[in-house]
Amino acid sequence: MVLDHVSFVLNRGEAAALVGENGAGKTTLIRILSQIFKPDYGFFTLDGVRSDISSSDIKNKTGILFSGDGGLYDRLSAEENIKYYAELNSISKSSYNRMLEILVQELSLSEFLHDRVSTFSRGMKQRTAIARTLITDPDFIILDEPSTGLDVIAAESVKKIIYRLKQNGKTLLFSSHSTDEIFSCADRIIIIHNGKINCDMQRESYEALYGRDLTCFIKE
Amino acid sequence: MKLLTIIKKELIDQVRDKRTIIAAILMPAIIVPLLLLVIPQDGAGGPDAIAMRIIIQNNDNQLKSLILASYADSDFLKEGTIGSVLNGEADLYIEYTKAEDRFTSFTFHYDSARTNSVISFVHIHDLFDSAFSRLAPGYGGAELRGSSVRSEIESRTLHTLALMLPVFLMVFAASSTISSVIDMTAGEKERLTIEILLSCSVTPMLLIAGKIIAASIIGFFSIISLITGLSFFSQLSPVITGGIPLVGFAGFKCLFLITLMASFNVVFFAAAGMVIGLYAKSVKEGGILSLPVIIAGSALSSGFIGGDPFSGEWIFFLIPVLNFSSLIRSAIFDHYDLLHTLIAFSVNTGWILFFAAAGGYFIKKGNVIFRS
Repeated sequence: MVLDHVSFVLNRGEAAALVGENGAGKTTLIRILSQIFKPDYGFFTLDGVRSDISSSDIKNKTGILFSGDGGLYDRLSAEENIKYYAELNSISKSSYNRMLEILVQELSLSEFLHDRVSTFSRGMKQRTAIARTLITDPDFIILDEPSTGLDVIAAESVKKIIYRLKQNGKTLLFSSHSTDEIFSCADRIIIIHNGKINCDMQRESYEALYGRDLTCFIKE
Repeated sequence: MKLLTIIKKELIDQVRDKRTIIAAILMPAIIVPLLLLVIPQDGAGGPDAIAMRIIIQNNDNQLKSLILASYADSDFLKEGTIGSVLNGEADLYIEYTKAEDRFTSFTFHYDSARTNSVISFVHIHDLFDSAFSRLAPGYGGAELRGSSVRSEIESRTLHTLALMLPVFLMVFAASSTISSVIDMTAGEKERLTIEILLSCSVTPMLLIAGKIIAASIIGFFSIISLITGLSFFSQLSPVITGGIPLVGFAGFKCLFLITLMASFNVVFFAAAGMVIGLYAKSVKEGGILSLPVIIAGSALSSGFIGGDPFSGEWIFFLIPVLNFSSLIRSAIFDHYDLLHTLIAFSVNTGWILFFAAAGGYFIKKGNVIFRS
């Protein structure tokens, strides 16, 4: 069993950090929330809509950034990657154009928007992948290790993006191994260990009790 | 030395993958002989293996009895002309002359491009040669002549096209389509784009349909490219197709129907390749796993090489690839059988639906899609 009785509530506009060692079950949980996996039993709700009843409604309101190289098509340009995702999610042309204009500016994509992804650095790929995640203007955003493998400057820009999303009232769940990212971006800290939630606390409370030590709930 | 080091490393890397050994060495060694064993080649079973369809001038009973004594399965058509041999209704037309109730000459009209017709000619010629030789009791010496209903150049062209076109079409249909669809499925896994795709508001069946159609379009253009290239170059140098240019020999209608039939097989390969690609962890593994399909496809497409396009057994039309390669071979002979075509279309449609369903099952299975 990868996940065992996982249960938590995210409030609208809240940013929660999902913390845990490799193999703890973070990615599986994210895949379930992304509707890629179906849990053996149980469900989750988004704005009152149950995942086991209307998965497409939830998919339309969720934006996901998976870990790794951003999951981009190397032979397509940045714009083509973003557009493909938007079209698969039935985003209208006007909404697409409006969001693209905003994202190009915020993520500084204009320089390489029409270039092939195969020529991109890791940071450029991540910015493109984030733009793709946000092109549908989702209410609920899941970021799986958004700054892993990025250089300091790129990781800092990811932090800024998370701040902006919070300011815009988006609900965020992000997994991270970066203490700095977790404590500077998260309102809540959820620690998962061996498929179970060991800790679910407001960031301020956690910091007051345990400081910035994230290992206390990961020990056997 | 560095080159040797690289070669050595790559070979060890490949050889240590059991699937490479199975797919690249064991499969070709076993599949082709096995298929050729399962699919009997016409004429390979000895003199009685084919049932000859013969037209005898004036339905001469004496000649019928003579043939039936040696070839009991022979079928005699009461009506027909030399043209019946050309359009495949008969294998042999026997013409004779008589003088004072004695046969003085025989002319055997046969189709030099068709196996059954040639075998019939050889059998009957040998039979008549011994029966009507000068030494045979009761008969005088009769002159025996063979006459092909086709010109030598036409026969050579038919042989060449019937031999190579179905095989090349199937090999290119299989390889181009499967490699594309593997990249569209296993490649998605390798690039980690599959997660994004599955998280979109798209049904699995729509994804599968989109990928099958996209791969089929690539395979279709591969077929078009092959036929166009062959048409163009055979126009410049007809020797490559046996003496007559492809378009001049087959005509546009025949080429259109051949393209249509090959295209339907392209869809079959796309669906089969998609299932393999969804199962495979990487493009490399997909390539290895699809090798048996490509090899089997190539072997099946050549299954009727020795066969006669006018005597295809219906059971062969139940086997994908074999069915359409046989229909293509028949089309080259300007022979179309509606029943066989319908059987082949139904069988392939069934397989395509089966593969699509299997793909739909795989795409919903996390342990298959994220197999590590």
